[in-house]
Amino acid sequence: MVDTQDQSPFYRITDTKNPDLLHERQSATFDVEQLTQFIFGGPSGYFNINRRRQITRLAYTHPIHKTHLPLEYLDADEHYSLLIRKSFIAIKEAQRFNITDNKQLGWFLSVFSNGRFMFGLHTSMFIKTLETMASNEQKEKFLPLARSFQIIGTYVQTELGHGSNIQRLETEAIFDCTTDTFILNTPTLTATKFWPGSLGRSVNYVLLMAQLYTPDRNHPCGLQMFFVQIRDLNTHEPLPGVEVGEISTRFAHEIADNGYLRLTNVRIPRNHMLMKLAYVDEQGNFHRLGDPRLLYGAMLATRVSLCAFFSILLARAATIAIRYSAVRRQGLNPSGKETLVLDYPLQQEKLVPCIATTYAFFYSFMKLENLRVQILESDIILFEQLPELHAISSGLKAYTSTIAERFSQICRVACGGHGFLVASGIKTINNMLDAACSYEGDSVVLFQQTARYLLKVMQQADDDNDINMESSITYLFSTISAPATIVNLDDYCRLFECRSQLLLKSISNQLIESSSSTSYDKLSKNSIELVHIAKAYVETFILRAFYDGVRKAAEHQSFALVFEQLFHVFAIHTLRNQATDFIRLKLLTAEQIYQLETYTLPDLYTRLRPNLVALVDTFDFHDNELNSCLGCYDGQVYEALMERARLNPSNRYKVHPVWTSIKQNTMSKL
Amino acid sequence: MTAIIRRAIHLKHRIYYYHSDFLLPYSINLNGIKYKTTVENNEPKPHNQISDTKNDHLLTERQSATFNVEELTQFMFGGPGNYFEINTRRQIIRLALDHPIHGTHLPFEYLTADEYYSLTIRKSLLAIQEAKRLNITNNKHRRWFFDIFVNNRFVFFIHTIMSLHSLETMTTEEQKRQFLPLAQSFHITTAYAQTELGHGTDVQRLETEAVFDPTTDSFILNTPTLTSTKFWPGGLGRTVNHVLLMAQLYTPDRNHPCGLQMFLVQIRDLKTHEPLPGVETGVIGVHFAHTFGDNGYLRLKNVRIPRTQMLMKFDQVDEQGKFHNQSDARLLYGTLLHARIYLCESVTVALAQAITIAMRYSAVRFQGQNSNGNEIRILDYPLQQAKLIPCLSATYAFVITFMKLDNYFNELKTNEEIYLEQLPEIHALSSGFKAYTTLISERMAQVCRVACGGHGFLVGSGLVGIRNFLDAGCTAEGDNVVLLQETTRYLLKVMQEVEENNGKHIDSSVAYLSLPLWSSRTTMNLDDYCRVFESRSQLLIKEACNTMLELSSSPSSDEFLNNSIQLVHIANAHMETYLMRAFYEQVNKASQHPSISSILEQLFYVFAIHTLRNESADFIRFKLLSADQIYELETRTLPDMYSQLRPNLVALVDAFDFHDHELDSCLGRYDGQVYEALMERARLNPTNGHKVHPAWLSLKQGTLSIL
Repeated sequence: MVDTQDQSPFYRITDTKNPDLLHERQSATFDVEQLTQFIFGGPSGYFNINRRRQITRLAYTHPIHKTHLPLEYLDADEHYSLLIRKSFIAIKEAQRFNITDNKQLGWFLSVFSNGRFMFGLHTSMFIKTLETMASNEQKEKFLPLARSFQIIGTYVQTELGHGSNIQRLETEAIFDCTTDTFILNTPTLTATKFWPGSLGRSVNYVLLMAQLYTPDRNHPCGLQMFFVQIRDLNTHEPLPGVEVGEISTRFAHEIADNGYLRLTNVRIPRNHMLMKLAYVDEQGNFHRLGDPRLLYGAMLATRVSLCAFFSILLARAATIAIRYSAVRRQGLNPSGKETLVLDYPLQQEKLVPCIATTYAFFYSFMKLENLRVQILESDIILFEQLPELHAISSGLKAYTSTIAERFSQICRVACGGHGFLVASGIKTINNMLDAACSYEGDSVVLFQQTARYLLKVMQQADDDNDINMESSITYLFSTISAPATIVNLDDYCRLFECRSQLLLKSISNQLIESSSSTSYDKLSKNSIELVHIAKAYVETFILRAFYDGVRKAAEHQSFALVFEQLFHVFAIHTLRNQATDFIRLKLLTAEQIYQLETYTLPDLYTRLRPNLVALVDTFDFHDNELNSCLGCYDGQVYEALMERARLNPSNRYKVHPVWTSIKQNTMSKL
Repeated sequence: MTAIIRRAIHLKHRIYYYHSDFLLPYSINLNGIKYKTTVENNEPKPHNQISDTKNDHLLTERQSATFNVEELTQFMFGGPGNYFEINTRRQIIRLALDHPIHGTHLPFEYLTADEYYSLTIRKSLLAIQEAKRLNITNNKHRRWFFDIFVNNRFVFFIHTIMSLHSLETMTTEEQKRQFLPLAQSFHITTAYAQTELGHGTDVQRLETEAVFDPTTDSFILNTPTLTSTKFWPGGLGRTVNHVLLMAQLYTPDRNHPCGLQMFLVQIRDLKTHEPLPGVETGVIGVHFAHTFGDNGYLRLKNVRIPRTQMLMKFDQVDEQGKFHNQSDARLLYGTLLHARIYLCESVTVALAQAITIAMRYSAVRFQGQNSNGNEIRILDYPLQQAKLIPCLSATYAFVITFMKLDNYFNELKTNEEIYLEQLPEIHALSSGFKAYTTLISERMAQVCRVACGGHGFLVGSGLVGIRNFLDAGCTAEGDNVVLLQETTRYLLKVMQEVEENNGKHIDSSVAYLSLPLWSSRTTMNLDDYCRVFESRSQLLIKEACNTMLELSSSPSSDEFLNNSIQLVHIANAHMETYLMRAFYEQVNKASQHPSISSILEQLFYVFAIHTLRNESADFIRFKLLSADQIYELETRTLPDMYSQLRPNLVALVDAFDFHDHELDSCLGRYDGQVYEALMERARLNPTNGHKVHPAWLSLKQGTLSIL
């Protein structure tokens, strides 16, 4: 019987079965649990690891988890049916266990349904949007239904022809004052709503983003959000005028049930437009009420939490690749023994920067999350700081998804052929991170928003020296002296700050001097460099955040040094990928960078070598979360691979039916 | 027959008949569809004409091109001796696509695992029959025909690519007579069973055993441990009836290891297709690139095969169990090289497909608005160009270099003596090229995916499958970093010879190592770019020679290991010089085609500068170029090239002349009707056949009531 109050780590060293892995764990120089608590512990910390462990244990005690094959062996219909069932049971179980805190509920639902909770958009975007954009009256009416899952909804924005640029959405809501209703239509092919999660077969309501026309078709009033029923609550059949279905996404089962939606003259009552920020009266007059930035707050919260999600995905990929590399042997060493692949410098070159980056991402997320709490969860929302939060969260979302996608691919390659199996867990992570580069904002679009913010503060600072300087950009306006030699951690931070400042100043001047007529043309012409300065800014932010983490770790003798080493790896790895900047801006010479890359970095790999497994054990993933034959805690990778292969339903045939039919067919010549 | 229930999915103009039970109808009922037995039009015309374009924006793009697409296609892929033999290839593609079976099934992503497998088997067997009927005998042509016919999922591809080659080159005359006709006619089908659960690249460590038993004149085969389970071979899971088994030979008894040998082993009954006694075989877990079909595992328990089933051209075991070693191991290399060339072809073609899809889609997709309030074609964004144009130029570089390499190898093959002499160079080039192109192509395919936004993530975009294939390519046929170290070992050896200056002949691909270094100049022509890359490579190799004391050291030596990160870097640098040179030669060849040559030149510059700026630290450190020069190239010259190439971008991918069927992409289709295609593909999803999904029916009817 599992003790669900248990807050201890999921595994102990004694659970290790593979002797090589055991040896790795025994040779670590720090206590894993101590580090886990340092980073992820504390009831007020975002990750609240002790509570998370309890919740994970609770979720896995349910017998349903033992009743099905690995998900990759289910066909599309079985897969969907299982996840619907699990999602509903998860909701019920969460109620039974009285898990009410939003974040904890999110963990429970996700863990319970193998990371594929079907109503994630309902519990996040749908309910959050109702909370922020519905009038009090609407809230009273809709929210209890939504919270009790009597209605299940999703957030429907993206269209077949329009993604990032929402102003161009084509779906129409035309007010008809004779019936006091809106008439909803998808007037063109490209207006078809396309991609929303859970839309395909699952939800009965949607929050529909559409162009409002009132009092009639000739008066466009911009985008509004409408509360629209699309399926019958009793039969689950689509309502008249609604065409809805699933789009094809076989490779990313994780983002489940993405759908399309076409509406033909669907009518909804006037009070189904969300009316907190704007409303339409009975005569069809349009009134603006609230601050549209309110909605923006909800979007920002989602974006911030994505950065945590990407860090976790990357941590999983790193865990799998490191553990497997500590078990897998390949090639002869001079003593005639086979070499552990983790001992190859080339393998370390792939994986150590990946671990260092994972830690850096966790710290940058936590810094961002603190900022979010300060700005959005104080008594009054601090609107004047929203732009900064927007700039960092956009930049960090774009940066972490792009880098994490590439690293997860490196982890895949580092695991060789076996990494390519779904059972490795890595391909799935890679696919999820790939998708992450596009959803919730394309990376280059987001980077440009970050850059635009930076240019703005730069120009405001020029106009008015008295401006209130915000924390993450203070360095842009201070005189920073480039370090002559790189000794301290702070030297790296200053190097990156100098680079970011110099790049920004130069582009800012260039734009002022530019002859282009409109600011649009200026920005567009320089967009490649704008993306570059945004990245430089984000890298500085991450480095500073990691630096703060290292400083905090200084009190803990056993891992302070390890943390410093990770910081160095992250800093040098990031730096050498941007070498031209540092050389051109005369912050470093090519020779210096060569030395760092060729001598310092491999030296750090060697020093970190005894702790690599411990550094991923620190993330404390449950084997079920990893769902990986290569990354299981006990290290029995080959047993796991063979067992998983034998589970393949196709192997239940002695002879596959197609061959039986061929062999029995007299027409066959073969 | 009630068992065959047909579901028809009606769309506006097309009807897909879809056998709900794929398992029965091996002989397809074509329902009176007329089957043309000959392709009416034998003219090697392009697959598409500009007038086929339906999307206006795409039409504008095509009309504004400054050169004739077909002229470029013929220049690149036509002409005598060209690897791609475009005119023949077109005919083969038409022949393959002419068969009515292609209209009878849903897109592959909508099939269940069993349906999917059944369909690929049916199509593969049909393809074999058809190739025979159409008398397509040339190996390459037949392979193209199979690939196209079976939607790149030909299940016997390992049999045709690798095994047949081994059976030709590694067997005695008698074995050849005995096995080859059966294998060529697909009565014997094989998988190439080398990789084991515990061992991949390092073949010496394979554990599968073949122990000779003189009393019965047979070998006893065993997989003695878990890790010795054969794992991954394509076609092994459910398909083949034989394997070419790589195993450790012990003869005359278990105490005398004689190293790895290849055995032809029957694993399934030819009549019933059941696994033979002692054989456990099955499919390994699901993986993402369905294109590598039916990967399987194999465990053998005391399986006996006659002594004569060991492939004995080079080494023999006689009746007494005496081992005769006559092997020139170098000759074994042929099969691997053969497979590697095929992989390189597939990789370059896959990248060309990815860039075709991304480019065409970017020409029809609009997003954002300019200062006049008009929506912007995404191909007009500098950031989109910065993503796609380097991919396009790299594709041209790869295709050109691939053809050059293949030509070179074929030339060498005509004389066995020269071939053996040049084997180190061949090995270095083919290893390096495979590793470099898969690494870069995988990255670029990912760039193409992102450039297509969310829609790129749909299987129906075609990009997901390509990316997964290229990802697999980084590992298949040898891990990239392992291969690159092989290339470097060769480079270090040559460098040593050059420095010893013993007047020995220097292989053409490394001739630059003895040239003086490039001296810096302000304006750089094509040759300057080649030279600057060559100088960098030369300096890197010299540097490594100086830091490493034992040059002849084995790859496992500490010296080699400690420097392995740089050694891989060196191999990449060398491959870049090779690609640049090949591209340069092609630009020169184009000089008789004025409308083409300037465009190829622009592509060359993009490839050169893009590659250079990614490795800028080297060039600066060696004082070949200054940081400011590189900054200029990157921020001025490169965007300038993008603008010059802009009118020709679509034409440059059209020149690859892919058939829509090959691309299998809603986003990349020639006519530009992307949204229609996406919508049609979504509606085909079988799950949309339910008005209410069964999971919800049972929920609503209370049988699965949860809430």
